[in-house]
Amino acid sequence: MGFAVTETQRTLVENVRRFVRTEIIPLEHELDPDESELSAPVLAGLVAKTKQMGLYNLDVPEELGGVGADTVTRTLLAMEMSQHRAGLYSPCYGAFGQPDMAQLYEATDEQKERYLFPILRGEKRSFFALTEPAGGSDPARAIETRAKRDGSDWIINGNKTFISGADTADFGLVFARTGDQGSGRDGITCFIVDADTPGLTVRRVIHTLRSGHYPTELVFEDVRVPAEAVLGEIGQGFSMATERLTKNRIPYSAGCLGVAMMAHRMAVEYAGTRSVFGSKLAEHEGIQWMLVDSEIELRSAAALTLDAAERADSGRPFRTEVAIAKIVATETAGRVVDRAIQIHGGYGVTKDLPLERWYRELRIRRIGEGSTETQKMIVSRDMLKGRYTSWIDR
Amino acid sequence: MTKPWTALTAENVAPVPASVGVFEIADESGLIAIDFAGGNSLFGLRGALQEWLGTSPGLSFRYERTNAYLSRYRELVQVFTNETGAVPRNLTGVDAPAGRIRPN
Repeated sequence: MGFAVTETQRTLVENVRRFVRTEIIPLEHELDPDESELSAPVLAGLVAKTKQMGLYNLDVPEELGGVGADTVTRTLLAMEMSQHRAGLYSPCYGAFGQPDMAQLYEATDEQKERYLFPILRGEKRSFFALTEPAGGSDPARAIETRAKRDGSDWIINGNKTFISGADTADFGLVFARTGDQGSGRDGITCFIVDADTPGLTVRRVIHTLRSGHYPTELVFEDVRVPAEAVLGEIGQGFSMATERLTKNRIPYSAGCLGVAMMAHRMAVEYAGTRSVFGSKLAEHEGIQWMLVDSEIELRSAAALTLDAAERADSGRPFRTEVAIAKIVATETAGRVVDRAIQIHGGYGVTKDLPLERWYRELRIRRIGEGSTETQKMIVSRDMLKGRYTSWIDR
Repeated sequence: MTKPWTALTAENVAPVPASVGVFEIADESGLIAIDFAGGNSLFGLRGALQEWLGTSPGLSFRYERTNAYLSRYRELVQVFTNETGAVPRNLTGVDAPAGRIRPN
């Protein structure tokens, strides 16, 4: 464990920090406190600025027109990009590009022209349909959606749930069981499905304590797609999905730490100015200890997250490290924001401050992208099967 | 929405809760507006509905208290758009929620 932040990374971080403070936070005075979307012209103005700054499509490889930032750099930037009111779910409201659809890097040239490049240009929106009503933590077994061959076409039937953004998307990656190619993880294939395909219905938005985000329920009734809709190889869709899920947990964790860092900074500042019982809050030991606990936990979680990112970049196995980082970052962020609310007292729970929103939304982060318990299962399996060596034995 | 349509009068709006939520306005031709009272609203649903008082005769309203007002608002607009092919009158020409939902 341990690495130095390069000069380039430091400059990028400072640029993003300035962008958040000068471009994003002032916009939020006009928004509803729970809103996570800006009007199209305002967002277009922000995108023009990030493109000018060379920060658009950070995750995307350079050969596809992106920045091609490595995982450590993206992790450092994710911590900065999330330090605003809606930070957890849309880094600066999408000003830095749309959610990564890395699976499409493996697409055919024709698929790239039709789906990937419009996404990278910000012209199309997509959804990622893996989770089903039967379960999300164990998708290899829970997937009941089926795709059957009919001549050269495929016909998809089933249900998906908790699918973000499907109500406004142009197309989605849909994972379905293609039974004769094997069971479990080997029997799942990824299809690119246009949102207006007959038989595909968005049944409802699922309302949660998450603000300004729109998970949906989808129904597939005899949805017919051509053979060209298969992404990658038949039966290999699950490997494609898990690769994305594992790597995504790093910036996901970093985003949690970003809002927690901002909450912690707010708590330190407030404790230094607010007087109670004749002295500043910060002069009371109970408050001092809360601030120190938050500082220690944040430093520890950031170190674990960056360690996982560094391993991912170096080509070494990183699944276990990511799982550990995800647990620690999401749990830590929740505790830090909780303390910040406590220090702010009544103001902490108002919509005048972003703390109450972060508090609610961080709760979901202990479930989304693999729950804490699922991550522990990954760590324990890897430890017990010898796939992971404890840091002390390395 | 499960609440019944109610005539939009000062007496009927007065007991509406000052909480966040969504509401719909109708005239004799049918539904004309879908909107929400969010975290910035003064007196929540009650305040938002009071702004409609006196704008036009014969209006009625119904509302739903919900902390998930943004997603519920978006859903109501999307279902309306799917059924009628247009956004409610109050959202014409503005940045209305896009997309369609077809409950089944």
